[in-house]
Amino acid sequence: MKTPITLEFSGGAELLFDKVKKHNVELPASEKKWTIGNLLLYIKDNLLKERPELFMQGETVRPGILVLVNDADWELMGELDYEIQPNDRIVFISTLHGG
Amino acid sequence: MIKNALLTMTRFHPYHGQNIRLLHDNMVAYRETSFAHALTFSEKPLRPGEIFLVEIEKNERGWSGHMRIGLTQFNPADHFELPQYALPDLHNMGKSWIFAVTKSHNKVMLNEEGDTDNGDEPYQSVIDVGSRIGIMYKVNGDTAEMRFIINGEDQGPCARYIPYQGGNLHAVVDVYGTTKQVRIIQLYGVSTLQNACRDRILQLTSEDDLNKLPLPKKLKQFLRYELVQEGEDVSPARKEKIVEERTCMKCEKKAVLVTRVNDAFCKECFMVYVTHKFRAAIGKSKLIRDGESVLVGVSGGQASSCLLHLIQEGLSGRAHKKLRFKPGLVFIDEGATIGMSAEERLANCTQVLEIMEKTGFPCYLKALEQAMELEREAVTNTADQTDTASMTSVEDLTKLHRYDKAEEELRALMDSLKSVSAKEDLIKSLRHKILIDLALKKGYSKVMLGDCSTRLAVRLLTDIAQGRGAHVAMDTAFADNRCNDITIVRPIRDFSSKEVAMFNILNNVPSVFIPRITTKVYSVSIEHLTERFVTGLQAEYPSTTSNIMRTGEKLHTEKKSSSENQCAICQAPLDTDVPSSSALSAVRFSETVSRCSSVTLSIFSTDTACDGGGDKTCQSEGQKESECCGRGDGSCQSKESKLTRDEVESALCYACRLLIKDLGDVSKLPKHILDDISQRQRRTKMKSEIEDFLLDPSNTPD
Repeated sequence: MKTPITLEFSGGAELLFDKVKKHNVELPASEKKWTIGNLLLYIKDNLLKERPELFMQGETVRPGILVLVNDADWELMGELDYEIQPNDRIVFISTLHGG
Repeated sequence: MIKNALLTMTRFHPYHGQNIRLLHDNMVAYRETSFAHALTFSEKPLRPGEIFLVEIEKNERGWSGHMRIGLTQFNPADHFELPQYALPDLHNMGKSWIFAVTKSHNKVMLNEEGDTDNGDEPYQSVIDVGSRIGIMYKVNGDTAEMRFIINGEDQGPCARYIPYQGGNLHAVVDVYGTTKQVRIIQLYGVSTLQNACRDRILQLTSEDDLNKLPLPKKLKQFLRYELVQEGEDVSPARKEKIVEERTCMKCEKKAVLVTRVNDAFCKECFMVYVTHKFRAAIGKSKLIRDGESVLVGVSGGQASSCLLHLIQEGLSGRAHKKLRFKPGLVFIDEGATIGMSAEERLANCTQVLEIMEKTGFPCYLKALEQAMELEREAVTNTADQTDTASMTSVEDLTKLHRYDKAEEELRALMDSLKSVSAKEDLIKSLRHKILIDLALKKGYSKVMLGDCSTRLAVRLLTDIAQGRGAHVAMDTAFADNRCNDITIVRPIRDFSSKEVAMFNILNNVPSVFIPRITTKVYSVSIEHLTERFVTGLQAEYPSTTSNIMRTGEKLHTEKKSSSENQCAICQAPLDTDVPSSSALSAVRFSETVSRCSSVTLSIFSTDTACDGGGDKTCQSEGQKESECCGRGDGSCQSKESKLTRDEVESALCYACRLLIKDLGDVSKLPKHILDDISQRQRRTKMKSEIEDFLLDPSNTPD
């Protein structure tokens, strides 16, 4: 069963996604659970329009990009290992100057 | 005696009998249980003359016999099967010379008077705690002889004809019988003072008493070997991976954010923390008085929007103790620097103005190109309400096109700067000039900027990289008073960018992202690179930015007060009056020499009116005298000669000189800067002319 979630980008990160700030996404069903780690790869493959190195660094987000899950710091949820629940709202905020 | 100094510490070899436990960085051997399998070896082979010295630290009664010590040619690194005892087993394996330490070895007087507390023995026995037993071997022809050194006294040879050339000799200690624990006494290693003190303290105090020592916690940990010192890595606190649900550190409710190295906060406590920090920063400085007019620079970005929200909250009646200053807001449109279209600029300005106007404070809109046209003299007293250079309503936005000529000038200036770092630097200086100019014209005494700690940490390192080391403290401090009349304050300088972003999310603070010269480009300027570096480090080590800021606070330079000593571009105090043997003078000299082929140069002369063309056909013959009537009150109508590059440079600080190095034609600089420099030149010239007639204040008798 698919997992519907909301993705938001702000602080300049939206420039890499065609300037669209809010994305409603349905994650396809899969045997593995959807974690933030998988989500990042999904975003890289499907949503990121340009310059992936400005959003991600290796397996995780670039330092300086804050990730919030349902208005809470992702560090409190386990960072990349957090399992995504249906209707979660995940926000990526860039706190960097240059994109 | 040892000829070569050994620079390492003496330790026990990690291969030892199974009943042995090594402690204290392998310098202490402790027999845990039973009575056999307690063989230990020196980590490294002994050299001729080198003394291997151990001290008995603990004894256990009820056993017979005592420790054994000696030499062996067996190598512990071979991990050979260890016999149960040194005597007789290891001895019988051969290649070993081991002796038991007995009571009959020399005795040491307990104290001088000869009386003791324990009735029976007036002498400290060699097998008692505190005794020091050492062995060494001396080369004698082709063989060696082993000697005991007990409590400082050489006992003479105890074994002879040891074929030392046949193999490395390791010291052997069998922690046997009543001897429970021995410690190696460092005789050679270059131990740090701290390590030496630690050894001594540990010898004199028991484990329980260690806690009672009046020492700071870190030192106590060091004594217990829990803290490592030099030689091993002293890395700063790494971020801990959070494994379970964290609750707020203050109220135990569900946490929303992790900040400040490792503290979790819930929403309400975070708001309290943030508001308190903001108020404390303003209150502690005692700079902002009631009723004072403060100009707030709003860039539309997250940090300045956060600042705006905090100001609104602080000024509203709801606040616990209202802030009482009068803010005015200004937004500077920098679209000209990246060649933004007029429609885009209009759209951005509209968005930001909407946000600003909701606050109800007076709003101003400026464009960066206006910096090319600033007037030098600012009238400080009259708050000019009819100033046509600023706009306060959205409808007036269309009047932006008025500055087309200035925009072209700005574009020309930007294009003639080759490096992006230089462009960024110049934009920053121009931005500051506009802010200061507006503040002066409208009667504001302070300018408030929304620089958060992450930005400031990046700025600090960038400044140092660009040659602005002398101004680092000013650029990142709470109060910046380089312009004598206007003070720049940074109330959110203690907020990390993460805290700012979180605050905005939790309070639905709107912000507008406006691209700049370095957006979406990968590392083209020093600041951008530094930002990548600092944020990358911060991700692993959360105390990075606070460390940088704390260090920056401690770097000060003297401030010279007169305006003659300010850089014409960045307004910082000039840092270029250095002695003639400095690196700066050397650089200048080599520059001058490489520019002109003319041989008759005088060192440090600024009279070579060479315009830096860089080719060998320089025909300059010295400065042309400008026909000045010499009145000095601004009414002079004489033709002004073009400023030479050297003249411009003399009025700039070191970093700004590097900035205009790129510049082909110095006359592209904004007019007011050039005018300022010209005036300074004329003043200096006049001063030198009347120098002989001036009274020297230090000489006047009083």
